[in-house]
Amino acid sequence: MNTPVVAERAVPRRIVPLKIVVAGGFGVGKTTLVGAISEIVPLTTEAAMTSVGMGVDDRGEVITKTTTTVAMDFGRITVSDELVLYLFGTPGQDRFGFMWDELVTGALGAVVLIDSRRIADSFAALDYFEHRSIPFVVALNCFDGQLHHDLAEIREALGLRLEVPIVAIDARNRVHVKHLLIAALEVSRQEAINRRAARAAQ
Amino acid sequence: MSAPEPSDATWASDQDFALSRPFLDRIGKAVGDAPQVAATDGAVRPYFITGGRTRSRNQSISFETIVALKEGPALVSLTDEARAVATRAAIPHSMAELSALLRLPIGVVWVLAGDLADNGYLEVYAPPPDVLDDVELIDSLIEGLRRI
Repeated sequence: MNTPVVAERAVPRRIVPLKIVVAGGFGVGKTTLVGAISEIVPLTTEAAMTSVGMGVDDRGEVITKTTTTVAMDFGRITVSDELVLYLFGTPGQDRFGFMWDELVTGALGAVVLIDSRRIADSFAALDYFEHRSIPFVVALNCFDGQLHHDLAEIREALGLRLEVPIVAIDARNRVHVKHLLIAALEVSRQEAINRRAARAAQ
Repeated sequence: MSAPEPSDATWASDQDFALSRPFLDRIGKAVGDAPQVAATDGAVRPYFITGGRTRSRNQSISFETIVALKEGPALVSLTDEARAVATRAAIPHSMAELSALLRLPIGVVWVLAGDLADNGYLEVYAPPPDVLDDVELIDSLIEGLRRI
């Protein structure tokens, strides 16, 4: 049957979808973080993309064009009647480059999740957000509830600017994640205020 | 001599292939041993249903863009995939959610939803264009998050 579905629905006059991007290396806990606060079980969307020149072999002679599929887990928080916040967990590899542009456009902020044993996995994401002036916070995932490194040391190792907050969290903890998202939004808010002031001063 | 029936079990059972790549179905029936190619080729080509387009002409469509089905237009004339998107949109859903629920790559959903929106089937809800400069919006989001 091709009868259109006429489900009971109350669509508000205005729906404002918003997003925050959660970046980090493989296995650092992005999906756990998203799942800790999402009202839905994290879903997965697949993006197929073509990478050119990524298949250069050891002798540097073969350049291939490959199509890869990147899976992104995401969750949703209905904040009010109008505001719906999506959290996208994205892999941090360089090869994900162009899809990041589309994902990050319009994002209200970003979280870079790091594992103190593998901080280099976060470098690509940090570079990306810094170069594009996207507001972000760094979250150190303490898997066992223990902080093994001093946050100031990690800040130094990452070369973070002082304006970038760094916090230690347990990605499984809903309250931690909630405050982390608020911290990310506070950075965005402050930068928006600074830009507004700069424009007013001109 | 009659043409051999397609006896390959893989081919016969793989209804999804016939759905998304109808040309293969015809080839398979015309050439008896052609299905072996398809049997080893596990990749469905989802962009076939978008005419090869991977991006919507509708620039406002991104991962978080929400669409909602409008009252009115009948969905009878739509392709199966477009109707699946439209039907799901009876409850507002984001592009990412539609991609996950319908098991279609995000690019396919962008194209299908973009076409549906352009043809008046869907209402589109996108973030405000200058969302990063919208202090009031960020404030209400922070307030909302504090309450949850």
